[in-house]
Amino acid sequence: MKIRTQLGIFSALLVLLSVGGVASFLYYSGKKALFREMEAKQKATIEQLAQIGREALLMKDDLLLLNYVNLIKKTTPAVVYAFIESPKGRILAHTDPMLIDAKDDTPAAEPALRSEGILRQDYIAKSGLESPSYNKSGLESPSYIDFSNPIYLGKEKAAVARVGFSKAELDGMISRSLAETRTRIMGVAAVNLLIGLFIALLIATAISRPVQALSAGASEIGKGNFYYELEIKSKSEIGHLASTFNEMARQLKELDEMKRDFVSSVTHELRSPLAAIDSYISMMMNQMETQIVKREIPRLAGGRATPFEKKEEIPRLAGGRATPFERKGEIPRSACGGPPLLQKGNEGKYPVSRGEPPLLQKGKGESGELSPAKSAYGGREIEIIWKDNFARIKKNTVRLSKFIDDLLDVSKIEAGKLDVCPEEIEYEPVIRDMVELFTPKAAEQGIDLSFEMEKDLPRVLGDANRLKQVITNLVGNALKFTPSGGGIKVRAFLSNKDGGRMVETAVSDTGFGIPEDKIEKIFSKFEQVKEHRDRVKGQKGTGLGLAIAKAIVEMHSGTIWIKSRVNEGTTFHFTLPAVEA
Amino acid sequence: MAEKILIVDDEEDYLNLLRLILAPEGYEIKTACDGEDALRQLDGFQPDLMILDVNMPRLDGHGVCKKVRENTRLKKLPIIMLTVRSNEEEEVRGLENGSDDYITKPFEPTALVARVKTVLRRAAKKARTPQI
Repeated sequence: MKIRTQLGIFSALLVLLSVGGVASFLYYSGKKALFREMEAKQKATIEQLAQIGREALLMKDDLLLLNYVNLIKKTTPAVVYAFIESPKGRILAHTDPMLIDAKDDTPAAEPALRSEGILRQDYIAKSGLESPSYNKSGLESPSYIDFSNPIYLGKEKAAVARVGFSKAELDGMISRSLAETRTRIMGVAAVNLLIGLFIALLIATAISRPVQALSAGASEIGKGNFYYELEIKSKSEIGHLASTFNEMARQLKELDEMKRDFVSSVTHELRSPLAAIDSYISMMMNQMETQIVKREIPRLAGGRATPFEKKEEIPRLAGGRATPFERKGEIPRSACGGPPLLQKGNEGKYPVSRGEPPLLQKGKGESGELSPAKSAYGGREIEIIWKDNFARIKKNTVRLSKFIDDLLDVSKIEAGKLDVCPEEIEYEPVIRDMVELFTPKAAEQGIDLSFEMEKDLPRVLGDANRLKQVITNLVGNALKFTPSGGGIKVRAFLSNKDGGRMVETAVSDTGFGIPEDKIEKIFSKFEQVKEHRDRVKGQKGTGLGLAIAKAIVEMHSGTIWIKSRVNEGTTFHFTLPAVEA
Repeated sequence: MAEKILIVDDEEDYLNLLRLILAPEGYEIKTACDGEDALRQLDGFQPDLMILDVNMPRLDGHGVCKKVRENTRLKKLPIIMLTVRSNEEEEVRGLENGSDDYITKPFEPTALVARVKTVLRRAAKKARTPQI
C-alpha cells in the first residue's frame, strides 16, 4: 500500500475518532441539560402557581386564581391540569371549571386519606379521564407527572397548588428537542469530519510527496538517467536523504562520463594501430601475390626465377626500409622455426597459377603435414604457410576492428550520438546482400540459410548501412547459436504491428533457444546466455550486437522483439516504417 | 616525369605504409609529420597530390586543407583526406574544406592506389581543359 494511502487512512481514522468522541459527549451533556431545564421549568411553574394561589387566597380573589390556572395551562406546554385545593379537599380553582367545588360545599368525606396518589385517583375518577396507560393498582407508570406545592398563610396550611404534566407530551418534547440537538451535532460533526479528512489528506500528501519524488528519482537513476536531480528542499530526514541521493547520482554521472570517455578514447586509440596492422598485412599479402606472379611469368616463359631469389627487387618496393623479404634467409626460420628452410631444389615442384586453393590440393602428403617437424620445405610451401598466417592475422584484426566498432557504436548510443539517417530505400537488396554474405559461412557450418520475401513489399524508411548492421548482427547471432544441421530463415513481410503499416523482418533459427527469464535482458550490453556461450565453439562475440541492433531499430521508429523456446529455436522480429505508396 | 605526392601523417607507421604502397607505383614520395611541417614543406615544393591525415597534433588536416585552399599557388592541389573509420560528419567537413576525396583507415592497398590514380587523372584532365 502506498505511504500516502496508509497515512491518509490513519489520519482519517484519527479524525473520525475524535469527532465521534466530541459529538457523543456533546449529545449526552445536552440531554442532561435538557432534563434539568425541564425539571426547573416544572418547578418554577408550580412555585409560581403556589405564589399566585397564596396571593389570591389572601385577597380572596377566586377569579384571579381561575384566570391564572387557565393561563398556566395555555402558556406552559404539557400541562394537563392545574388546580388549587383547600386542605380539606375543596377545589378552589381548576383548569376544568366543572370540577370547581361550590364555595359553601361541605368538606370532603375523608380528607385525611387524601394522599397525593389517592387524590390523583380521585381526580381521575372525578374528571372521567382515563388514560390507557393508567393503572389503578400501581403508580409505576403514570400518565401524568404530578407536582404539588403547599400554600401557607402564616403558619397555617391554607391550600395546596397542584400541576399535572402529561408524561407522553413531556417525552415527546424531550425527544423532539433531543432529535434537534442530535441533528445539530451531527451537522457540525459532518462538517468537521470533512475538514478533518481534507487536512488528513493534505498531511498525508505532504509527507508522502518527497518520498514519492525520492522513489521516482531512484528509479530514474536506476534506469541510467544520471542527469536526474531530486528537488527536495526540506530540512527533514527526507531532505537529507534526497541530497545524499543527488550526491550519489552526481558521482554515478561522473563515473559514467569517465567510462564513456574512456571507452571512446580507448577505442580511438585502438583503432589507429589496428588499422595500420590491417593495412600492412594487406600490403604484404599483395606483395606476396605480386612476387608469385613475377616469378611464375618468367618461369612459365622458360626462365628460372624463384620468389626470394631476386632479392634486389624487394628493397626498391619497400622504399629503402627493411622488409621481411629483404633478408630472405631469416624470415622462414623465424616464421616456422625449422632449420634448413629454403631449398632451392624444391622450387619448381609445384607449378602454380595465381589462385590458392589448387595449391593446397597439391601433393596431399606434404600439404597435410605442414609442420616444423618436417625437415624440408620448399619455397612454395612457405608461401602457403605465410599466406595462411597472413590470412589468419588479417581475420583477427578484422574481428578486433569489428569489436572496436561495436564498442564505439555503443558509446555513441549511450551518448545519443549514433548517426542514423533514414531515407526511402528499397528493402530487398539490403536484406539479400546480407543473406548472400552469410551463405558461404552457413554452408560451411552445415546450416541451411534461406530467404523469403513477400512480393511487392513497399519501400521502407531506413538507413541502408545501419540496417545491414542489424541484419548482420541478427543472422550472425543465429549462426553462432545454431548447431550444424539446423536452419536459419530470414523473412520480410508487411504487417500492421505498431499501428501503421510496417515492414517486418523475422530471423528464425533452430538453435538453443533463450530461457524465458533471459529474454528481457538479451538486449542489454554484454548480455549473453551463459550456457549458450559455453556451447559455442571459437569466436563467441561480445554481446554488444543485439544492444546495437535494438538501438538502430528504435532510431528507425521500429520495434524489436524475440520469441523463443528452449531447444526449439529463437525468432527475432523487427519492424520498419513502410513508405506509403 | 614521376608525379610527386606529399604524405602527411603524425604516425610514422602510416607514413611508411603509404610510402611502401605508393613508391612501387612510381611516384616520388615526400613525407611530413604534422600540419605545420606539411605547410613548411609546401613552401618550396609543389606536389601533384597531398594525402592528408585528419587527426594530427598542432595543425590538423582540416586546418592544412583550409590554408592550402587559401593559397593562390596551391589552391588547385588535389588532396585526399585520411580518416579513421567512416565518419560521415568528418567526411562532409573534409569535402567542405576542399579535399577531393577521402580514404578511411584501414584501407586496402589496391583501393588506395586506385583512388590516388583517379584523383591524379582527374586533376590532370582539369589542368588540360582551358578555363572558361
